[in-house]
Amino acid sequence: MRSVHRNRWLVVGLVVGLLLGLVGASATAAPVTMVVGLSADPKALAPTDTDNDACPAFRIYSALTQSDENFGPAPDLARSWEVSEDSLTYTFHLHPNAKFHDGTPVTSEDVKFSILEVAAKRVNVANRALLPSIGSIDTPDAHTVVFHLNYPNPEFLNPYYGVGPRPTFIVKKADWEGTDFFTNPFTRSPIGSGPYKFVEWVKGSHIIVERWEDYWGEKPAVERIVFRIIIDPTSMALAFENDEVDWVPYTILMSEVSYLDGLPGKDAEFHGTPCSDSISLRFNLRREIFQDIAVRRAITYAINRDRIPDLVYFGGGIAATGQINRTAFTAPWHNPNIDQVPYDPEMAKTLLDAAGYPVLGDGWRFHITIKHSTFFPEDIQVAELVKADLAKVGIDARIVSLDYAAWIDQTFVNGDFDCNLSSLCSGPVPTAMGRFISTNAVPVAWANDMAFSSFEYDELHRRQSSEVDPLKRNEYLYRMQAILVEEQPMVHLIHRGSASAWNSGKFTAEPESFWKGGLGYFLMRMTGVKPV
Amino acid sequence: MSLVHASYPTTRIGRAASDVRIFWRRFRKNRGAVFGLLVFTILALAALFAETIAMHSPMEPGVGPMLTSPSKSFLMGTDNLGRDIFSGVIHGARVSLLIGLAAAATSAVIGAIVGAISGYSGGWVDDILMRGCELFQAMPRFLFALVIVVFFQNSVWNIVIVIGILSWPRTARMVRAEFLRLREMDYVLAAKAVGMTTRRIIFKQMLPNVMHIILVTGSLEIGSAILTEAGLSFLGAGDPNVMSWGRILFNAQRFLRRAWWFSVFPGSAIFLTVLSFNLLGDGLNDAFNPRLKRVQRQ
Amino acid sequence: MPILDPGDGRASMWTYIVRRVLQAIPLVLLILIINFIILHLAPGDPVSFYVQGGTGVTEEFVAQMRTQFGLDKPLGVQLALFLRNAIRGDLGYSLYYQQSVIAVIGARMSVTFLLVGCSMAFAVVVGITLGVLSGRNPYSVIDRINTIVAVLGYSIPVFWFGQVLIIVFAVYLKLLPTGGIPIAAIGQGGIVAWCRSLALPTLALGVVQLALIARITRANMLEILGADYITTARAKGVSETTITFKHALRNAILPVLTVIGVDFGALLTGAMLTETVFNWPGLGRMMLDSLLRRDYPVLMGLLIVMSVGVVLLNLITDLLYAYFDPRIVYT
Repeated sequence: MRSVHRNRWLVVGLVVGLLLGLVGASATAAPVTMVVGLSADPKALAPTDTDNDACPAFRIYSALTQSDENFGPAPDLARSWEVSEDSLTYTFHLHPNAKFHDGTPVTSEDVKFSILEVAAKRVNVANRALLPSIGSIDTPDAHTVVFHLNYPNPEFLNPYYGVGPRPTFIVKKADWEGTDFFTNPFTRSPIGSGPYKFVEWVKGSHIIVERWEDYWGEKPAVERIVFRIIIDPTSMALAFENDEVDWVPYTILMSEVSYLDGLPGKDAEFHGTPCSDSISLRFNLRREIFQDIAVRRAITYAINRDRIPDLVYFGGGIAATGQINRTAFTAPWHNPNIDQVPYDPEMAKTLLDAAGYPVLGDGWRFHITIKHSTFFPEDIQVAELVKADLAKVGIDARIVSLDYAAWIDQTFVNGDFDCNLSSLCSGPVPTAMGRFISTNAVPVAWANDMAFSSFEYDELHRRQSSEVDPLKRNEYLYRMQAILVEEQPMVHLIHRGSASAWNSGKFTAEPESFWKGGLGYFLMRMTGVKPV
Repeated sequence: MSLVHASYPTTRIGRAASDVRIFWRRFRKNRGAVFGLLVFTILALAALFAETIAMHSPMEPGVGPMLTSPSKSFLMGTDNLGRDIFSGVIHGARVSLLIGLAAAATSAVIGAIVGAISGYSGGWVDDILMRGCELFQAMPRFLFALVIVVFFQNSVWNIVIVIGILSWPRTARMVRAEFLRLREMDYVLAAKAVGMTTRRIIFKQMLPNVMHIILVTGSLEIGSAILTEAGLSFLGAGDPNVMSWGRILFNAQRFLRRAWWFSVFPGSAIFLTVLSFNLLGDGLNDAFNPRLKRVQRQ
Repeated sequence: MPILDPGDGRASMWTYIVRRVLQAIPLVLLILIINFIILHLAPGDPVSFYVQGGTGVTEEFVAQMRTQFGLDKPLGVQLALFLRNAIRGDLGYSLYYQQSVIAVIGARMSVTFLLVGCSMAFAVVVGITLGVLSGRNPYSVIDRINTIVAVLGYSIPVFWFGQVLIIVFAVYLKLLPTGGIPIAAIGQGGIVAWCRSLALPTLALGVVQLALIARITRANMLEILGADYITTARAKGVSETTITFKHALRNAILPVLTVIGVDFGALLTGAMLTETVFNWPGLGRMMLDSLLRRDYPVLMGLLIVMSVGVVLLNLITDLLYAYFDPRIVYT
């Protein structure tokens, strides 16, 4: 009998010891850690990838420039630079102590390779703007890079579209030369020259980076960053509220912004997205019915754009007056003087009757489909609002929700649609206006799905893409925006905003635009972020 | 003790009416089944008279301020686009009932025919059809439906057809089992002897005798079909031109904290509907086969 | 299907196993072929998803990617290649994850197994307990509870139940996390954290199985407890407890095994919905994500895993069935 008692106390002792051990383990000192909430895994941490999620990558890699708080270029890998009089030659001087995480120095050869070979493999708007303008790159010594341009490129120093973080991360040439970029192991275990070293990546769960103690530049205060991948926006908002996430860039639920902002120690705000695109309803000009501008005009009259930002985005967005957003990143190029088509359903009905589309026996004038992609979750609601507005003037619009691949296929590649609700984001630079030039009416993703063609527009675009003088450039850009509203190949609905959230009880950011303007997500270093 | 009651009817119609009365007495005893029947009736009424009962169009945005809690003017509150959720739930009844009935009917027809042929013929025909049955049962129905709907088109009809086509195995197996039993019965052998064609035997003689099985599995299938459609809509693969209950839940996902009514009402509607069909099916089953209900008191 | 035959016994069990496995192979093959064809018939393909992110995608790049991943070959050739590789153990390469499909699936498998395993365990334990208790005491309170749970559990939509659980326990009561799994690398982990994360998803996923199992166990218990040999045992003076556990339970469990096997497909579906609602990085959610991304290699890999899993599970439950019921023999 005594042995039973002894055994019992042994068990109790073990359990207590185990509990103490668990408690003790969690009480050891932890490094200063910031948890960032991402709404999706990045595709890869390699610069060969399309760069939707620059946030983790930009902690690991460096680029020639980073962004200052005015969205202009600030030194990163390049300590200084000179521009020639004719804007055709740019000379960058690299930081002499710049190293990669494995200790090897960053040389001009690495820069040249990264831009000409690696960035060229990525296919997105950035390359469209930057790469064709680069004629050649010279590397006179290990720390000097000279660019010779084919034509003056107004965006060359822009941190978003030029030799900045988003398009041109610098990688080690020796790691990448001659390898297959898709299977190169460095896509998943990246070596960069940025202030943070890659630690681990568990797809669907998290990415961890740690401060690199040998960083050649100004070391940030945050020692460890954990990027938590939380796909469901409600979970993200709840995680932020429960202190499980410190920073949610761009993807905090807009319906929660005012509530979260009101919590002590938490900040949440709306801001613009770095998009020069509006969310628009685009007409397939190949269809006979949409070749009549009266029909397109009528549809524009029928849609109540002003209620969309409030209903769908909880105030985080504005009704669009043209292609280019008047707030945030794209304000310099916005044309404020375009005549608008007001919301007037009666006018819409009159126009439709006059155009020869009266209400028929089944109660409708005609039937069309609105196709959109489920990739952008708010699109469906915008489509529902448009559908309701059109129904009021007698147009039956059937919504067809497609997954991303099918949407690209049906709208851009095959041109098989009536109306395309598109919320593509082309970056905050007007070079994206080039999408609507006639030579872009090709069966390729993101090209001119409407088959819009205007000789004047084409000519203006050609001129503005090589015009360095901002005033003259705006002349062209203003007229281009006006053409898009006059010709009405699409209805500009809204410019969507985004919202970010920041745990101000744990961290401060200097300047505040680091998180409020979205700059820190893509383009600014973490040097201004400090624990409270 | 005479097995035939003194007043047992002699005419065919009389016998049928008496059977119905006996059936109803058994059915009535099952409280769950009666509840199921009640809910079904309410649903059917809601579906038929949706326009009268619901005060607004379910798809009309902005009839009220967004995300307001239940009030006198909006009995179940409003959603994020200012739509009346009560109207959505009422019209959703029509959508769900239609989808459920159509899908269940499709699967019942296919299942009955396959099961009948399989059970009656036996041999290699039976083998092949049963392999086919296994094949369809091994494929996870919901996932397959999701694949089809995402890749092709998310219209209501696609959903109905897909659910119907994937659900027939259960009915087929039950019908086949019964046919295996009925095949040896006298009236079938007699019909064969007389020279009736196989088709007439199956459809005119035997199928009517398995109607109750089809009815029971059918009503259970309705509940299943409604759940499948709700699941598809919940994942965003439903038809956006129609306001179904699952669709409302899909919209409600982001507002769980802010607007409990957005999720609670449509979800309860799905729950109650499926529950009622399951209870109904069970009740029908018990009422048709009282001998299986062997319960012992201790 | 095994048939009842007093006598012979296990001598033919091995032939049965072999035959079942041989029968299962063409079934799995057929499922794969059908799914492969459907995937590729659909409009759009993996490449169009992969290159999203900016304008100006050149045609050459798209064509180059298509060739690289063999998407420009005719369907039959693609299918043959896929099957040939699959047999060798190479399930392909995922464009999106930039890893081999096997690595991708392997990483998520443990998460889903954990969820499914716990739900099954929960459903089996609670279900059998409820079923046995109500079988022994019909029309008692326990029996009423059992019936209610059985009917409700079978009718409730899994995803809505999950949402309600989150609203009640995570939002209002703040007792449990809203979702996700503990991340070992940042110091989260340990039994307590995992139990907290598992609690709600297990409940949401397990309730349907629980309903089925409780109901069938009850029905079987009732039937068996009324049988002759039980009455004999009672007459002989065997205690009620021994009767319940030694004689009745063994036989009541058998149909439960069948339920587990047959319902596995529904369990996987439920896992997908549960993982979506609770934000768990498992196979279920990966299925949905791959679907939307047209990640064909991963989708096909998942289908293989699932079909093989279903077949294996059915085989195992049939074997267990045989073990528990010596009357069954295999032809």
